[in-house]
Amino acid sequence: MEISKHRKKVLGAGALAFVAAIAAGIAGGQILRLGGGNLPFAVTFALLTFVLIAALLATRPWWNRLDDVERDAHTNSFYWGGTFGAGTAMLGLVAWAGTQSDLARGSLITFAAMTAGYGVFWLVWWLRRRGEA
Amino acid sequence: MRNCLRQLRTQKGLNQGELADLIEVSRQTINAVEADKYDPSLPMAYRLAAFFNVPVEELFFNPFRES
Repeated sequence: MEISKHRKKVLGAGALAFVAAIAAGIAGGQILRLGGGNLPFAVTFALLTFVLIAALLATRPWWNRLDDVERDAHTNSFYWGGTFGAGTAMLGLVAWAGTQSDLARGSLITFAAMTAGYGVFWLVWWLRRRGEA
Repeated sequence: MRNCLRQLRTQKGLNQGELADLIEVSRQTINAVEADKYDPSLPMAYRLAAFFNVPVEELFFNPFRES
């Protein structure tokens, strides 16, 4: 079966995103081992955040090459499926480990960070689309 | 949004994959638009209309205009 031009472009960029995700995982593991695993929190966090941003930027060509329908499918799946999946896992962890556990605190922090990230991107998205009244 | 994409495509003797390749979208996208399961963006609607050399409203039927 012949692969279409569009499919080739999406698959090529998808492969780059996949490799970047694997590389980011390896880089993250190496960062956590730096200095015998005793680097200051701020340094470790900054390095890991840098790796995360680099990995996300590497997925941008893939996102940009998707057509409207494909992008909408991913946006909807991420919002509804991703939120439900993550929410279920968080609730399960809290139910399993108790509300005062590290897992519960981690879940809460993750959920709060997701909400904050969502809010920032939502705001920027609208600000960039403002026109004259 | 109701449309006559399937008719225009078959008139040109193209299958969904060939049309998708020509306008650089996925075959599934053409399928979803033809089946009225997805409303395309304005740029994609114009792109399709330009490809078939018809006005957009001839390809996608305006549900808000009185017939």
